[in-house]
Amino acid sequence: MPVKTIAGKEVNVSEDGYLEDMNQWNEEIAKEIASEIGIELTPKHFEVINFLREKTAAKEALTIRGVGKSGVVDIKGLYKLFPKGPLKFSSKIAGIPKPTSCI
Amino acid sequence: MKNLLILGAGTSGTMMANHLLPKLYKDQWKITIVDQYKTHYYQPGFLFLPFDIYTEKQVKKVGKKFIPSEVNYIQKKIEQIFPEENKVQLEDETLHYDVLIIATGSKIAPEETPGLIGPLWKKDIFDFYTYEGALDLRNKLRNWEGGKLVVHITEMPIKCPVAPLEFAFLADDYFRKKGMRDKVEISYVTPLSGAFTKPTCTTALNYLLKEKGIKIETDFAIESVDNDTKELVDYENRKIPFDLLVTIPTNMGDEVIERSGLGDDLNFIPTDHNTLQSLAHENIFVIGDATNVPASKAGSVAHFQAETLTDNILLYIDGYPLKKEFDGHANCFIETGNNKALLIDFNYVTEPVHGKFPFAKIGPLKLLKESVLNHWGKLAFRWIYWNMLLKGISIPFVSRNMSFKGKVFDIKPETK
Amino acid sequence: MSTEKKPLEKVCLICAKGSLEDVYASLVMANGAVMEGIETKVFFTFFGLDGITKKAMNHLHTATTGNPAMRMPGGLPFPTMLGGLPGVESAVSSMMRKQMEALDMPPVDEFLEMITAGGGEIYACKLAVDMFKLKKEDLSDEVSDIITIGEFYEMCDGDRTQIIFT
Repeated sequence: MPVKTIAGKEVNVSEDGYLEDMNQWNEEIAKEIASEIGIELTPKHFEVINFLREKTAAKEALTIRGVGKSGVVDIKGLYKLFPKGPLKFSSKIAGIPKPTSCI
Repeated sequence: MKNLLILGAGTSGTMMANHLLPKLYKDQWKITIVDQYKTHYYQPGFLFLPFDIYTEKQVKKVGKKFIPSEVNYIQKKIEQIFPEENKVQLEDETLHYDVLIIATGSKIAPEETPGLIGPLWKKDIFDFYTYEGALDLRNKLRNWEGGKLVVHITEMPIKCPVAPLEFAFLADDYFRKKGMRDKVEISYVTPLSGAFTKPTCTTALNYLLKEKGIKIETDFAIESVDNDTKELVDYENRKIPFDLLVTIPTNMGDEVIERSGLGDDLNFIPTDHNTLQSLAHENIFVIGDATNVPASKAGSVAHFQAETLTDNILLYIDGYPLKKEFDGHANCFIETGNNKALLIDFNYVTEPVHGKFPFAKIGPLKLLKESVLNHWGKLAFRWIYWNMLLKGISIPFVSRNMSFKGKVFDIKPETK
Repeated sequence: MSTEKKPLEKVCLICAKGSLEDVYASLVMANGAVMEGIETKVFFTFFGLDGITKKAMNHLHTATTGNPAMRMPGGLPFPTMLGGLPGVESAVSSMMRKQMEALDMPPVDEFLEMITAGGGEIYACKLAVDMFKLKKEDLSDEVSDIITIGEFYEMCDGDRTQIIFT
């Protein structure tokens, strides 16, 4: 299991760069992963990220549709925040596993 | 689970059940249809009953046979509709609905004209708009020895506006074949200023009336029937004597519409002409004779309406705007006797046209011209009705909206 | 890492069939592409048009006859004869829809919105639209345009493009 130092902290990551343990996550880590992808995080991004982390902690499956219905952000907004990878990039930044859903 | 409720299992109601069943998901929608009566009549056939052209069996079948088994069929009287509460009271139960289709039709109201239901009713005064009326008239005609036959329309609108005229034509033919035409004087009495509601057609039909020696009395607004002198009396005190009166009484919507406060003064429900949604309640749709739309009250109209209404109900339940589509399209065969018939095709705004139908220039049916083929078209329609129309199968090549191809739009009728 | 990766840049999907599973197959593929940041265009033609026609799109059914991939619950092959029986088709459709709902698959109209929200584009085939006598307003609002097949192929230009016929 690769270990990577992000924002000065050693974390376990998967081959694709997703955090293996969501409890190792902090906001600094999020910002660094985001800048690697090319996204600058705003408070709105963190709203989405926190929502995703809550859902994951509750072991609920994540889908774009679920996010769209959450009231946090609509689907169009989600694509704007995380262009070209609404669920993929947001999950990576949120420190949760790579999404397995196709929708 | 949501409920789609259809009131009336006549032509329109039955068609709607058949159209909607395959479209709606059965785990989401339950379709229920309510009708008080067990028998489904082929109403266009009533025209032929009095002349022994059709037998009783050809015009009546058990209504349930035409309702798909997955549809909940309730044979009970409808007491009242409560549109504000989305429920319908039957004789001993209450049904809730999410979407309601009213297809309660129209019927004759002879009691609206003083003197119609009097000593002469069913003796010398008959109707043929009911099964019983048509049979009684048949028995009367079988033994009638002649005299003044008056075919009379009380007021518009009526179901199948050409039927009375056809009755006059068929009567001419019937007495001719019996060899007693010289003993019968036929008059056609109408509140309109011509033989039909549409001027083009009127000219063509007036010609036929003349040819067949049928006298026409126009602009006759009946006030009462004098049973003693055997006369029709109008508001200007014009009098028309008869020996045998065949009348089309006032046509009205069902009483349940009146009890529910949904109708106009003739118990017809105010309905959007193009979408068939009721004007007062967005989850109530109206089809067939029960509407107040200014189209003919006829099965062909109901058939074209059913296609539009099916689409609109699907759009409505998914929250989409309705299609303003129905254009009043009607077509009908006018039986002119002697095994011939005219075919007319019209809508809200377009006069009946000449040309060929259903294929432009090819036909084979001729519009607005007497032909033997049209007569067979009319008789074949009974089969189409029982086997295709009620089951919601579209008639190939006949569109719900009027097609303008290959039809001639002038007002002058073709004369031979 | 000796070979250079050449990720897809554009996916063009053609949906020509109108049964529940055919339309969803196209939608899932399209949405998947949009989520991966791939430029996505979907062309609906012939019976596939049902998938973007307002009155039909949320009332699609499963083809139970002539569908060799159909399975009974539990995985046994589904006898084609069975599909012709009354009621079977609706039972199968409802079962399919329940399974899809469990996976958070939206109704067709919402699925189309998801795709366009992500920048995917939906097109209707002009020939088929004319054939079924439809108008622009009969189609879902998510449909960008009614175009010819030629125009669609023009949109499918570029190196890393795939056309997928479902």
